[in-house]
Amino acid sequence: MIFEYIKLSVRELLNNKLRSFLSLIGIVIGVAVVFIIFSISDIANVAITNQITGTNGSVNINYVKDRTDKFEVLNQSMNSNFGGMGSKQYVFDLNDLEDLKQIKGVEDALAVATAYENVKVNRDTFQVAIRSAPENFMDFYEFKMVAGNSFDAYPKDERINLAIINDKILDDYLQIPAEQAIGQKIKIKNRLFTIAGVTNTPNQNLGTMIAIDQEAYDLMYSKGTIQYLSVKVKPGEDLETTSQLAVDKLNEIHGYQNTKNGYALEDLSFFIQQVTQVTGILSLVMGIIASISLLVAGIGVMNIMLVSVVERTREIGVKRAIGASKSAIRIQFIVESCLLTLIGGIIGVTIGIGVIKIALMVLNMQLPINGSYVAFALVFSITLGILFGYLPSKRAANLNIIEAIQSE
Amino acid sequence: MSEVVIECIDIKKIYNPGVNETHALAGVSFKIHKGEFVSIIGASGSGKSTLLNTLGLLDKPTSGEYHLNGENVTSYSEKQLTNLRLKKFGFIFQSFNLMNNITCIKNVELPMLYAGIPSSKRKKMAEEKMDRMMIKNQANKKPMTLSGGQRQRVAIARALVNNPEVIFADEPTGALDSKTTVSILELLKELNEQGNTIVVVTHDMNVAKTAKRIITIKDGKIESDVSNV
Repeated sequence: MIFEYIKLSVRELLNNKLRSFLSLIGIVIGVAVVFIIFSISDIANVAITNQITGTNGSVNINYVKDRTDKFEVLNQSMNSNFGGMGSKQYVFDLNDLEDLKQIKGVEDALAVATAYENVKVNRDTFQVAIRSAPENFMDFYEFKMVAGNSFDAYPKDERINLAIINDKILDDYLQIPAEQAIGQKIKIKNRLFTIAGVTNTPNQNLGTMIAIDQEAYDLMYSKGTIQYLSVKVKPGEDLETTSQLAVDKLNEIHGYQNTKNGYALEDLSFFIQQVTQVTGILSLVMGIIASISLLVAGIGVMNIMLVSVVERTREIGVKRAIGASKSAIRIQFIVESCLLTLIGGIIGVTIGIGVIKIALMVLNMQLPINGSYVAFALVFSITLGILFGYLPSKRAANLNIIEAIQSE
Repeated sequence: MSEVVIECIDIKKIYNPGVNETHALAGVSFKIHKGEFVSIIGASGSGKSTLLNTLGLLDKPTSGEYHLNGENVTSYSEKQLTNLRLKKFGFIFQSFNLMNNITCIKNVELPMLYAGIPSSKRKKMAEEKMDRMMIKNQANKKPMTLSGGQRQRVAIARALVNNPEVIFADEPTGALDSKTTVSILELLKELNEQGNTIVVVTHDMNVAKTAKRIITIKDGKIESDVSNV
């Protein structure tokens, strides 16, 4: 039965192609914007949580001058998380690592030192993170070799001239297969290194990276440079409790229990809070714009439907005379307006998906299109059709039959 | 005589009650029996159209009673009246009043759609009626491509499709040339002979004469009611 009405509606809309199309535009824009808003807040959330959870079970410990200063803690956390240099002072002690490893639940502890340098490979120059690689560096991050060998394949005295690069450097700069990179020379701060191996990038925060032996790093920079410590928690152990134990232990060793300055766990919650607030405001503003656009579009649809009722007064009268009930007439017009808004919704969602796909491509992110948003947008479109089709349909159903037949 | 289908008892229709009163129907009483062919004739403004609208349950009388198949339907709700129009009446109009954006057969199917008859049965019955009207080969054409006579045949097929008790025709030949008029009137006569009750409203005596009974309306009252069988 409803299928018949849909068929009749399609025919009616096709009879007025241009008009139908024009009344669709508002719905298309509104639905597309709503769909994009939902998807954007998703992308933002995924982007943030990717960064946080990308640290696979490890937590960074920074030194701060004021542990109560949320901004300083955040700043250090950002530096240590997003590949920055961390604390400038050499407030860490290699002995600390052994103490940290003794704590229950701690699997491993790493002293992290990173410098940003322009490096030269053949004729290409580019800036990357130079990472100091102590003995446990490769195991700590769980690197897997893509080509070549790790440091431990070589005797200790040869390691000082070796470098291990990650696959991101190949992708971003060298653009050669991993095998070809092996044996190439890299010039860092006027010292020549030989590429011994290529690794994957188990943690996105590592960025484009060249790892050199700790001894070589110490030669080039000040000896014993440690910007922050990273504590890796055993699988199954609670990340929060264990890392808190670790930072408490460090503060105890160095006598920072009751001072403002001291060691602090990385804390990005403040950052997330800020970002969520911004995306929240953005979504709200865009939501208001979209709502207004949809309201105007809905009124447009209502207007078109009202015009259609006037134009088809005689047809309505005849249908009523030959036995169409008021509800049959109402259904006919509501189906028609729903069909109109649904088509608008489908086009809107399609455009929305297109925009999001392009955005994801530009941001180099992988995120599936959320099916529930598609469903929501389409159900929402139909709801608009019912909402704004109701008044015209009621007007059509309540026409005086005799006057309607005699019209025109 | 056969059973009474329609009985009107002192039906009055007053427009603009109070000021500027117009007595479109000023007390009309008569009966229509099953199988009758009745013409209602009158000049324009005589009240014949109001009478047709009242008989066709498109309009409610101001006072009086209207009985259909022995049942007083005067105070029926709009929904009940719609259902009666659907199931018991067929309508033929002067200007055909077909839906121009759908095919002829879809037009004929329309009352069955409103009656909730399934698609396959609708198609079969529509074809049957169109065959009877000798326009089966026009089934999939749009009404605008047909001649006036053919279009009126489609309209008649539509009126017949729910097997109504009474067929109302409002100036059925008003938009047709004289040759087509004859064939449509012959068709109505034929339908009557097959047992259909037909009420034709016209201002044209030549059309009215086709019927066995002629009711003449003047100033909202029955001036004469003549059966010439």
